[in-house]
Amino acid sequence: MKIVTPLIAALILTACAQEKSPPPAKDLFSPTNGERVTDCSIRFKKSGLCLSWGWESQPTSTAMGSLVFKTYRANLLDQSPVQVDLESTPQVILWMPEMGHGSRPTTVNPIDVGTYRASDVFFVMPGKWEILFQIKSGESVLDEAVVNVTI
Amino acid sequence: MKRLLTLPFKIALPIAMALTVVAPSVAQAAACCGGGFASPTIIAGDQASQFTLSYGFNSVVVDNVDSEGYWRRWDEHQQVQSFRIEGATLLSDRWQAGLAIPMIQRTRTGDTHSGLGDVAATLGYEFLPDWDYNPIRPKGVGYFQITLPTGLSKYESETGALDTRGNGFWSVGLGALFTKTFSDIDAFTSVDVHRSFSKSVRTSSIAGQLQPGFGGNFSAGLGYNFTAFRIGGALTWVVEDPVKIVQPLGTIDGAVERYTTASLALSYMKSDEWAGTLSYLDQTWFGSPTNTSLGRGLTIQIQRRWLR
Repeated sequence: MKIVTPLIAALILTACAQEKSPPPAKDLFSPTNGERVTDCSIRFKKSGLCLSWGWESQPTSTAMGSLVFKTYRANLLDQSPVQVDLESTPQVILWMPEMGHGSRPTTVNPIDVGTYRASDVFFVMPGKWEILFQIKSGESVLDEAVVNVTI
Repeated sequence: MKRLLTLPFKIALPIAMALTVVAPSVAQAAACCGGGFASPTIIAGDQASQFTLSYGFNSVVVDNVDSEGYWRRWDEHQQVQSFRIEGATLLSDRWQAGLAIPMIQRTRTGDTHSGLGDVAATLGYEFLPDWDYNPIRPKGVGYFQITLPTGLSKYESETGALDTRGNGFWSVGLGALFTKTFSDIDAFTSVDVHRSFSKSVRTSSIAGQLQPGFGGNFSAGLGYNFTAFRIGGALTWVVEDPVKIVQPLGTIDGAVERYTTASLALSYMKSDEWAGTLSYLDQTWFGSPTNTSLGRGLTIQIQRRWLR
């Protein structure tokens, strides 16, 4: 036993690394990913607003992309989504929660009622990312909706 | 108890060379985004003082290993160059102090950022001396290290971690380094545990408190010495607790970071005063990496020593 324990520990520590290939990314680069999600399943955490989004131009490892998103409130009669402007232009943040860092800042502009374009969308590395749609007042985040994507 | 002042060259050479090689292997941080813990600057040979310059070039080859262990690569990789100045001196027969000042430069697709990394100061004590060159007992140096958050951390970056140069936290660590020489073979092992401290952060992406935890390094290596040369290899295992980001709208839990750096080194000791080492480092060979990037690189190191 005196020999076995350190031997097992040594074997574990010096085991060769094995590359594990990821499953094909289906959240971004597959052909169906450009479709917009309009079921209002992506909800802001506090206000009850929801959003739909889709790629206008998909980012690559070297080029920036852009996405379009729409914000909705629930219809008072039947709860169906009604497109609504936010009080201020929201921000889109790209964040890698496991790694603990973001990407470059994006630029968001309103293009119609409750419709916004986020450009300069660039992921600095592949992996699991969050797209944070944030409603801010000054520097304070009032509300946010989170979309998980795997690049 | 009086230390031997004159060390036979055959014994001094392997010890000195082994420690020349320890530093770059321990220093190797995660390839992409800073992190890790600064390597200790320790005198483990028989010198009174030492001054070390090292230059490293590291290329990310696996951009992301996620918490499920999936390896992801892109065709565009980050490249990291580092320039490190280190000095250490004896304060008394068994106490010593050291300082390390790194400069880091990161480049990706023509975008380059550079600056000061995390400065680290070390206070060491030779708790296990080898004054009589015991054939079995190793020499042991314990150390306390404090790391200053002089390098920008990935949490504070506005460029997707391309401008990160360190951990960005105040941290303290305790560790020990053991060395032993058996004829032409030398061996070393080191272990340290460190604790980083919380800080507030406000960027365009996050605003809240960063809550890091503990981390640890464990290294082991062997070398073979012939004439004025040494060839050797070492492995360094690194693990870091998740860093929580506590924000008003919720907490991001983070994930454990883990990687192993293998190094192969060739050293040349021109004299008792001068030594040089060329090391190859690879993070894709060993271990079970998670939540990190993996890189390969070369390090050149020149060391000047002043004997006791």
